[in-house]
Amino acid sequence: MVRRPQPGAPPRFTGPRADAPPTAVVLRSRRIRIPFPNGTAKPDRTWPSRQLAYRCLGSELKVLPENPGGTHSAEITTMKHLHVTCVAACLTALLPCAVLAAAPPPGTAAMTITIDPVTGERRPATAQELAVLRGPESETSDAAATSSAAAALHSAPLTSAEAVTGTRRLRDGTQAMKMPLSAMPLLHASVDANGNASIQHADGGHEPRNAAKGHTP
Amino acid sequence: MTPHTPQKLALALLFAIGVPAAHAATLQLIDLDEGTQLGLDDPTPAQPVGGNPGVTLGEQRLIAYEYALAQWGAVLQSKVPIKVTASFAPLACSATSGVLGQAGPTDIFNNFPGARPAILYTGALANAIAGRRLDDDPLGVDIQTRFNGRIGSPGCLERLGWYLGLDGNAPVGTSNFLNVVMHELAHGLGSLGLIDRETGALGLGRGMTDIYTHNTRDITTDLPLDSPWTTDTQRLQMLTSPGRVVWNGPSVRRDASLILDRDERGYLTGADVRGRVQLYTPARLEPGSTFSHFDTALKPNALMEPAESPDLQAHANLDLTPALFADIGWHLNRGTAKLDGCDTGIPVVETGGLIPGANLLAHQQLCLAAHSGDAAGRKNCVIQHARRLNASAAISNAQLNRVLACSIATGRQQSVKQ
Repeated sequence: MVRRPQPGAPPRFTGPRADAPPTAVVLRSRRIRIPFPNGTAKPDRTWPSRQLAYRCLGSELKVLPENPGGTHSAEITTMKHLHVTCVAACLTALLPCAVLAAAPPPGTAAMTITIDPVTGERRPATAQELAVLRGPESETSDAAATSSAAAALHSAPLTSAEAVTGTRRLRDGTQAMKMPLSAMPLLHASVDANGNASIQHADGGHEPRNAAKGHTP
Repeated sequence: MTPHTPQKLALALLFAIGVPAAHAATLQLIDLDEGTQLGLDDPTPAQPVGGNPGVTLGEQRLIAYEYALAQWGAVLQSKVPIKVTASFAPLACSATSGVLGQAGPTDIFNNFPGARPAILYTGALANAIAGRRLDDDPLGVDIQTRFNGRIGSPGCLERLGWYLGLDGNAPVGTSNFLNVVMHELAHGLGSLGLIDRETGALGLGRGMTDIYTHNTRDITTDLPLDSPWTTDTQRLQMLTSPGRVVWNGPSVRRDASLILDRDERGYLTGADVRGRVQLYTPARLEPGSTFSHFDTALKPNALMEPAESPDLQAHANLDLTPALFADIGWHLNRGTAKLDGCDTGIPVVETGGLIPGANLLAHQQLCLAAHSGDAAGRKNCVIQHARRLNASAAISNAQLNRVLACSIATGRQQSVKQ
């Protein structure tokens, strides 16, 4: 039950009425292409190559927010272990991509982004590209996929011990460590035979138990 | 090339600008689904629902995400943008159970300017206290969130769908996405204890406490959980003793006395005899839940309990969570919501956790995005939302009138400018 604090007897808040009219705003469905610099839909051949080369060097993909004359703000995908198919960009930039294009370590990146060698634009990878990129390790179970997807989120250590070992001192004396994945809460849902659903926290290695309440009948 | 609606881009831009309250935090979305045609980029057509005007599944998810970010941004103060990764990629799932999502901070800091000595802080909070970005990684991320994009699809919890409306009216059998995102973001913002759940060690083994744990107490010994006289083994025992660990921070204690029901003896439900709210410490350790949530004994239910409850309405009420944030060092925006500089008199966040002003500001951002270039449409959008808040008693008649006056004043200013 959602209520106001008791003192002062403010009006009781019971949430919006069920018969409240839907919002009047409607987004139009016209779709556009992501404009590259200068607001054009046609990519600037020089700019993307240079930027993508930078990204490949860092094993990261990042379409930088600096976009002179462009209209889009920022399209960012960045994770240390993000696996980027950057062959096209690297070829144009003459960068050694072999290492970067190698399959991610087991239990890490599962996300792949492909840069079309002709247009310089991002597009979904073809099945053939994925097979070449990932190799046999792409055949993962659901559980493994979850684990690898979780690891792909950032360059996180898997355990607390690894996190502590990786503690580093920044220039100003601040100490920094990464949050280990083992300490990262997972939200879990289950539906019983009667259709009752429960949603609660758990971690990857432990089956959640039903909480005393919180079930959604 | 990934297709995008101009509205989607405008939405990202406008939400990125942040909520125009004094020192309001800006939570920046980093969309990991961009270009994947999945999750937040899912082009599947959808009907607008519950105040969410998106017309594709991806848009609706994105809007709900942004709404949650805008609400927390309005409630909290930080000069440092908080970077949040978001994704709706497939996660492990079966017909009867599955992972709904995952979230948390990415970094932990100590020994920075403004920090209490020998205490760990999660990244976003540490940055806010220091007043600058501590990590020297320009691509650094503060919070990561990930939700299961397969929910509701064949073979994956088909009977459990996400409700993507922004009004708290989730139909039976659906999970209110906004509630879940608000909850998960709260973990990322620091509602998270760093005791190692396997060893009982402080700071995940760093040998120093964290600011969350520093606010907790064991009622049996009346010692803080980070007391030097408490061993790791004893700490684990505390974490597996229901009702034994409480939140000792003064803000939660004050708000609990206003929010929680009282039992027949006059004690607050889900609190000890001194009014300190219990944390979730079930007899069997649940590493993903234990200690980092309020106890399920609380009445009414709280946002930061481990189980999602259908009665939660995180678009309007964050109950004890803002107070918990205040206890760990966040500064809350205790001011009033201002629409383009015009004061509505509506508190951004009230004592007790109601957030009428934060909700109004988040919705204003949505209206700006949905009606860019259409001043009348924007004004009407905000007014209609204020009327709904008034109809649900979230704001008073006087506050509604202030919103109307602000809308008129804003319209006049724009006319003069033109």
